[in-house]
Amino acid sequence: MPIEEKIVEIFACYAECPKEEISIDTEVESLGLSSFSFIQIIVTIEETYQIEFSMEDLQAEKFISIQNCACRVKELLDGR
Amino acid sequence: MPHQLTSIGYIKENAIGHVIDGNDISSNDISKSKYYLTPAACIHLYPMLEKEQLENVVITTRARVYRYENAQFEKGQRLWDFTVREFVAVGAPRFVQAFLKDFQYKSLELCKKLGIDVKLSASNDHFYPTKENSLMQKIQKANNLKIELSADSGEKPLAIASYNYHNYHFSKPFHFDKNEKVVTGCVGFGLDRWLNVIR
Repeated sequence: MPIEEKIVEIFACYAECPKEEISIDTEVESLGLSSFSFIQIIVTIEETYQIEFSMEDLQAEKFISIQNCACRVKELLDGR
Repeated sequence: MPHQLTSIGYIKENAIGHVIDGNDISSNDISKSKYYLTPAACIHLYPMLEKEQLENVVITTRARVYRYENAQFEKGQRLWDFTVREFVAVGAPRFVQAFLKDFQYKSLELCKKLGIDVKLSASNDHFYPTKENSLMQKIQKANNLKIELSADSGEKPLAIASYNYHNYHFSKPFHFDKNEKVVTGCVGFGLDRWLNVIR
């Protein structure tokens, strides 16, 4: 499954809004995530791709949209 | 902080005579109750605000707080039983952020008047070590969600106050977020530590 699609799927599992409204361009803040759900999303992404986000990666401004997250995952995978 | 919780126990009725006779109290003599001593001052406020329509208010509380920290206790610095004065801001994100900044400024001014050498720095809570919790700590530090005021107290800096931005962590589960318009933040002052650093 392409990375974008998989990341959208992971976010959709924890989002409070209807899954069909979520796309790669959806803003993370609009998903109504609790802090615990957000942590679960990050853990799932890290485990799925065997990567680790740095402290800098986890700044709120780096997670504005799901696209931002997918791009960072690609960068981390490319850098391996 | 489940690993820091202190539970309450009492001497079993059939063991009272044994204890009165001057024998050491063994774990067999104690019955564990269903109650715990509070590990934080502000946590009791959030359930009390359930479904309230508050916005841009500051609430204060003072409580005896109990945290078991692997027996690493030190008089005036790391105690099992200590007193905390907390201020909790409930309101719009800008209001809560301004409240935290204002208290940081006021704390620095107070320390200057009292002659306490202090600095503010990003910190994180000491959660039980799991993958999820270490991520939570990273997120706290990366986003300055927890700032600590540390005093120079000899060997190592001593945190005497903390400024915490909770976002929707409490307002959402307790239904006072007014559709994601209300967040919370708190400032806690460890009064025993303040006494320890005031010369």
